[in-house]
Amino acid sequence: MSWIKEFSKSASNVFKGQVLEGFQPLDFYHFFPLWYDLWVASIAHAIKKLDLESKHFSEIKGILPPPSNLRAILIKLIPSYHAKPTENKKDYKSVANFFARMLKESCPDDPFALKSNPRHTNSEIGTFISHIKWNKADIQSARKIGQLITAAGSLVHGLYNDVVTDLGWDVYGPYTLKSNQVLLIRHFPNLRPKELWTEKLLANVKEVVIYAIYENVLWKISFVGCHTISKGQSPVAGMKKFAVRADGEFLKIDEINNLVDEFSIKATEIYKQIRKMNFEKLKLLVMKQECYQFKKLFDKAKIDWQPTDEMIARVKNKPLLQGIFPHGKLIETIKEFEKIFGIDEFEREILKKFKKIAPIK
Amino acid sequence: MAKILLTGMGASPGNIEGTARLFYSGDDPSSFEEGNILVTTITDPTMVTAMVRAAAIITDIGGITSHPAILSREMGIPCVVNTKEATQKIKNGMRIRVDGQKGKVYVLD
Repeated sequence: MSWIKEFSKSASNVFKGQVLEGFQPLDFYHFFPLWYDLWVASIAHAIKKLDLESKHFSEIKGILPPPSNLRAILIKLIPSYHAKPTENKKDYKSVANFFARMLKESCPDDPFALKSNPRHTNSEIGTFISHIKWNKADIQSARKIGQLITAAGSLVHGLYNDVVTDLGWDVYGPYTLKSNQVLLIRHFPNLRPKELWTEKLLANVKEVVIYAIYENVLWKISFVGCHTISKGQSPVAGMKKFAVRADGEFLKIDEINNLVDEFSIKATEIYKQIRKMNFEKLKLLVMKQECYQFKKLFDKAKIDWQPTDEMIARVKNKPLLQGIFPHGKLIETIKEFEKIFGIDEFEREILKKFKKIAPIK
Repeated sequence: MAKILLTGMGASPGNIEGTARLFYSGDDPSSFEEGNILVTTITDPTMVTAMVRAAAIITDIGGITSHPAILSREMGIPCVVNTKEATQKIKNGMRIRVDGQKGKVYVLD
């Protein structure tokens, strides 16, 4: 099976029961195609400049966004081409194939997260189990952890928006420990993107990691880490142990309480600002959030990561596209998803074109 | 006797009875009482303080991996999404029951 079919099988789950208006705060799918080809060209240029095609994921993971984030970009890149096909096909191919290879190398057991998002070896998991300062969970503390995830997740949703969430929130696992026990690791790698927001809206801590062991809860991760789906016992009733680490320090329950309050207030404040923005300002913010995903890579390649003048000119005083992706319609099947998002078209017009021709001997 | 009011998508299991509170983006979260059932079009981060106080969440739109669905599961509270008309059919103060497994909302009064 080609990677795009594997991708499609998994990515279509994101839209099950979902209408496109559910994604906030902008109609992203009618916005990105206005300028995405320019960004794709910049990414292709950075990949080439750093010779990343010859490098394994393990050598370059420090300059790439998390795996879920790469998946989320693919789900924007492909429909952007469908909405506004460009001549820039080689760059689309190079970037899409590069992302697919990175995902296969980083998460070989489930690259497109059909069911899970495993990123750690058995030895690393063993180290977590033996070295972490675990707390015994009860209903009250498990509920508090749920509230922390809600507050941190909502903060990320504001800092990065609904379709860049995965840059600030990934979940790894589920890792089976015993027949009925699993470990989930929730990672908020950067709650202080100072290039996007002023200091007073940023969290006081940059990184939060939440480790939780559950019993008799069946977890599934669907396409991106934060899409956790549970079955069986409630996660609150099923949580047996937990630990929260912020900027390297393990937290006590009162410190966790403080984080819930702080993140809730800041999530609310940021989103109030977003809701107040006029259309022109909102378009520029969303463009900047999108470009920020490759800041580390572009910094390494000595390319400015911020939106270029050409990108900005494409959207300035321009309305969003209309009528390409359906509003108010539930996308229920893989077939519908593939048609609406142009999966077959992308495979035909991009991935199957420009095959390398062997040199004539 | 409970009468079925709405059917949507069960996004987080659990059964709970409580008082409905319509709540929208930008509403004052301090006015949301602990244990009320949050009813909205779709949640957003301005509602986070209300969400952590809610006994259940009901939305007009959204799927199994939408913002309210994911966070309700994490907090272990029932959630029904994609009811299409919760904000029209449910009134403030209405006593309702939420079945987050079956995706049904019942009126108790």
